[in-house]
Order: sequence, then structure tokens, then C-alpha cells
Amino acid sequence: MLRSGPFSDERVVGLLNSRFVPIYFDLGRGSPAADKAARVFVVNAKKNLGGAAVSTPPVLLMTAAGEVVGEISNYATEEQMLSGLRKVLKDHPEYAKPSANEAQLSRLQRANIEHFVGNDVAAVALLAPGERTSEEILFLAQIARRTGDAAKARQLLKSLAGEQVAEVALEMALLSWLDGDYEAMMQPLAMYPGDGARKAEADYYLGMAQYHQGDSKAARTTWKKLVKANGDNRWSYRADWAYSQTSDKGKAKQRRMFTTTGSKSLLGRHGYMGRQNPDLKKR
Amino acid sequence: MMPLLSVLACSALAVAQVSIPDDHPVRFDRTGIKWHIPFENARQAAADSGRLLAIKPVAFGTTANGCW
Repeated sequence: MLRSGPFSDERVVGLLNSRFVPIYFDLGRGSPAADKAARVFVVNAKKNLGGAAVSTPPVLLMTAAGEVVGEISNYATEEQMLSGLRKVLKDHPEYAKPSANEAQLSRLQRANIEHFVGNDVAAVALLAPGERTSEEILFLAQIARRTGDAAKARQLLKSLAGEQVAEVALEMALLSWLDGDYEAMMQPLAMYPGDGARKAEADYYLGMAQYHQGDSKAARTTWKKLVKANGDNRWSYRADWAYSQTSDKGKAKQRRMFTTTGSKSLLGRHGYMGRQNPDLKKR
Repeated sequence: MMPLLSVLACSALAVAQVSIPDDHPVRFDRTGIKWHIPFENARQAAADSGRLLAIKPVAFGTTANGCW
């Protein structure tokens, strides 16, 4: 669930990497991901995780001294995960200070971090003075899209006339996705270059556009190619989830939620994905 | 398009990175999250950098090939 959902969200990943120290381990003593010290530390704070069989543990936000200051469900959506992480930083600002070396970063990199933290006003302010680069304008359009200001996003993208052509087309397609205009997504996503940095993302949404226009077979072919081309990749996790819950005729009769091996799983080593890929629901 | 890659790269500056052991299943993970393994290194990094730990305990479900 976490990898096909929130742990593959660019903002969640960026926030975890820039303001937290992420660690993953398995409670099982014989597990290949076992970590005795982590188990003792966590069970000391959460006694209910010390048994031989426990409910699915949440993400625990803890101080190095062992105090639990926040918990986020294993079944959280991207937005719930993001707001949970942001809230704990807001409640405990002593852990939210910029690293000393952040001053060395470009203003676009610092603006990205402000965006992940949830401080879009600061992100936009960082990019206000002087002439903006096309990458900065593209990023501002992304902020506008994510905050629901499609008109502003389109205005910024149009101002890029002739620059960042493939990225602008992808962003326009993602705005069409928010509108549920699947037909409008097709051409810009299909033209995204094979060597582009966001090719896997473009293909994921191309599959979604095909699926929602009734061509589930084509969608599954697109997702299959995506996983084959990219292997383990954050968009592969999402595509694996979509593929596992569909058939060539539409939604699968039995939605697969967990995948280790088997013909339905493209990755084969994904784990628990979640009850339902939310992107398969029409917008 | 640079945001993700650049931020992942720059966020590596935030706290010292810890290499993932060759036999640890998390080496298969491609989310972009910079996992700190093992725990004592993570705890030390959190203490040194003034950060919170974000801990994902898995309940007995990890396989050697990275499924969890």
C-alpha cells in the first residue's frame, strides 16, 4: 500500500528525505529485514507491537529519545500521509529547521523543499525576484495544479510557449486528468519522449486515459511496457497495482491486493498494494 | 524536468547517507526514499541532525527479494 501509494508520491518522498530520517524494518526476528535494536526501540514505545501476531503497524514518527510524536496509518492516502507529516513538523518546529547546507542549494531546490513542507507561499516567494527560468515556471505550474488552481497552472504553462515542450504537454495532460477529460490526455502523453525524465509517469497516465475510455486491453499493455522498461520504479508500483486490479475487459472481478508471485503481478515482489487503486475510479 | 531528481539529490545533503547492506531487501526499493539502515545509524543521524525518525515497521511480511 505504502509503496504503490504515499511512498511513491514525489512530495512525500521529498519531505521524508529532507525533514525526517526514514527507516524501515521487519518486526519478525528471523526476517531478512529484522533489526533487533529497532524492534526494542519501537516495542518499548508501542507495547502492542511486541506480540507474535500484530495488526499492521502505522508509520511512527518518533524522537531519537524514543518519544512517539505522531502516527500515520499504513492505509493512509497520499494526502493523508502528507498532511500527517506536515502536521507533526508544525507541532514540533524544533525538528523542522532547514539543514545548514540547504543554503547552498539553488532557489528552485529550496522552493521544492518549501512546497513539500507545505509552505507554498514561501516557495513562490523564493522564485519571485528576478527573471524566472522555464524550470521554475514549470514548478510554479505544478504547485498551482496541486493546489487546485488549474487556471493559474494553464496560464503559467502557456507563458512557456516553445520551451519545455514535452513537460508542458505532460502538465497539460495532468490538468485534463483532474477534469476527467481522458481524450485530451491521449496525444500529449503519447508524444512524451522515451528518454524524458518523467516517461514512466506519462505512460502510467496514458494507461489510465486508455482505461477510462474503455480500452482496458490497451491500458494494460501500456502498464506492462512501463514495468518492463523501468523495472522497480515508483510508477511501476502504481502501474502494478492498476494492472493487478483490471482485466482486458475492465475492472477485475476479484481485485488483487497483494502480490508476491503469479501471472497477474508484473513486478512480482511488490507486497500489499491496497484495496483499490483510486485512479481506476472515474473522476 | 528536474524537481524530483534534483530534490532527491539535494535532500541527500540533509543528513549523512547510510549505504544499504547488500543482503538487505530494502535495496530493491525504488521509491526514492533514502532509507537509513540499520536502526542505530538512523537514530544517530536523527540525533545529530535534529530530525524525527519516520519508522515503518512491517509485521512479519518482508521477503528476501524485497516484497513487503
